Amino acid sequence: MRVALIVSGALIIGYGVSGALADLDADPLGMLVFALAVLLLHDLVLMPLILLTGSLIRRTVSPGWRSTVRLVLLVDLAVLLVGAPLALGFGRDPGDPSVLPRPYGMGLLLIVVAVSVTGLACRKGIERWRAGRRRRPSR
Amino acid sequence: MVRHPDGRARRLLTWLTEPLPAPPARLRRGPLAPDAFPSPLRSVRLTTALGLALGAAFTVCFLTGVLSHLIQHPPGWFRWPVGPAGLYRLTQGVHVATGLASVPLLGAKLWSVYPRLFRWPPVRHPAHAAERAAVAVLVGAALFQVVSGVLNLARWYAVMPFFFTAAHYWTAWLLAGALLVHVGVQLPAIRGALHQQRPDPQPADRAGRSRRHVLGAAGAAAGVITLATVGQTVTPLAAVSLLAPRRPGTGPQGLPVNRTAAAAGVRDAALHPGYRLSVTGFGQSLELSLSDLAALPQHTAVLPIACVEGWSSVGSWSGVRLRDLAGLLGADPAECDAVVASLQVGGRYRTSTVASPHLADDRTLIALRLGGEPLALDHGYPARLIAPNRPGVLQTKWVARIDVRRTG
Repeated sequence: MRVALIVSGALIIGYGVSGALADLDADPLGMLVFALAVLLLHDLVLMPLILLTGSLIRRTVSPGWRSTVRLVLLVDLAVLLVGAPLALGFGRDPGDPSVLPRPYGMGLLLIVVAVSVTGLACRKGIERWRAGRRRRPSR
Repeated sequence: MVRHPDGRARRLLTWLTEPLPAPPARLRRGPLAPDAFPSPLRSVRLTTALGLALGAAFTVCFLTGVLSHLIQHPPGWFRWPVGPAGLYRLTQGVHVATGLASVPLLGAKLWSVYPRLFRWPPVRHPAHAAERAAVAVLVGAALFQVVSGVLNLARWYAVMPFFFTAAHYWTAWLLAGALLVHVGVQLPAIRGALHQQRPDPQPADRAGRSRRHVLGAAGAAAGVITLATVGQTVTPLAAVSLLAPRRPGTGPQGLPVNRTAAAAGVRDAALHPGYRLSVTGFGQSLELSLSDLAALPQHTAVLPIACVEGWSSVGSWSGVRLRDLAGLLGADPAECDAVVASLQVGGRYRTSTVASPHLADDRTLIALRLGGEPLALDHGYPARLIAPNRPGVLQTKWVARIDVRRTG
């Protein structure tokens, strides 16, 4: 099973590489440069920043709130990564207003605020509910 | 001298797994230090769960992507049905939505295995080096696909030094192969994590709780991204999809445009009063003016324009059935296909082939009107092709010529 997976995977990689090399549109050198760029940006810039944020959360946020803060920041970061290229708007075309028709910067801000407020409010609600449950049996 | 083949294979295996000299211990600092990644949230079970979700997402993207490629470049054995009319729209909506939802899944997965990038010693033996190289291909291809996909939605082509469609397609094969190799290498770890006895959930199962927190956060992020973008094809959600790259209903005559007449360089030819549509085949050639076309029986079809970029928008198209035009040549649409060519002088999508099931379908039109009005120039005035269940790039605009030929 393992050997079959590895061999068939290697064959498919070979098919992809030979296809990219033979396809004049694909520009394999450009693809390689782009892949290395995203790999290095991810491994040496984005991930260290995420780890730094994680260690800051461990140091500054009380244990009960850590998972909520992590959740909110993770969702916000993911939305930012998807939304930033839209908000930057380099793809806009003055001749075709149906491309990127929305105010994406504002949309991004609204989502980040909504996620943060919802996340923190839910946490607060859960705390109150738990506190209420703890009080009830003593009555 | 004849060497025994078994001996050679054994020597290769020995060489592959022969330990390499250990690197000097004083290099083991920074991220290479034993305690560099203290987060207690990481675990093999978390990595496995994220990997399974991501593997499922990538499989969906791969299948829907290859399907779109086959529809656009059909090999001889491939048949794409004429209905349901919205099937292509559904598959590409799913492709883009799943790709976007995999952004947080991929991020969380790579975070969970990030310490392994700095494991010590970096390479134990030649086979280990090969395994690490395969992981580099996997991670590089995965990031390539997700990032280039997002950039394509944002139409930010200046940062991609290649033709997106071709590069995204070939990298998909690379990613699929690297994923299979990775599953093969990691199979024992995956099986171990899946069959691990579920710990008693009662007394503060902290590992399980933190795993569920991370999974829940990645899932919540995927959900928010989906909600924020899927309105580009799921019209009722358009109002809340604040990050949708397109908005159904926005554009000339209420429909988005991918390529304008100005960008295609057809403005003058399309507006020229001497415009004629030539319909050829079976030894005949007809030249039809716009009024000739308008004098033929007119039909209306409500069909979506569905882009490979995941957006779609429905329009009410009116015009002449393509099968009626083929009938003018005496052709039987069920036994023919048609090559529809645009006024464009160049470009990848200047022509498209309409296979016989689509040619024979009543809803396949050479449309002259959209929503009761003459086509907007950017929607293909004076005449465009519209057919059910086809990618937008194959719905040729500014049609100049139709060649009908016997399927063979």
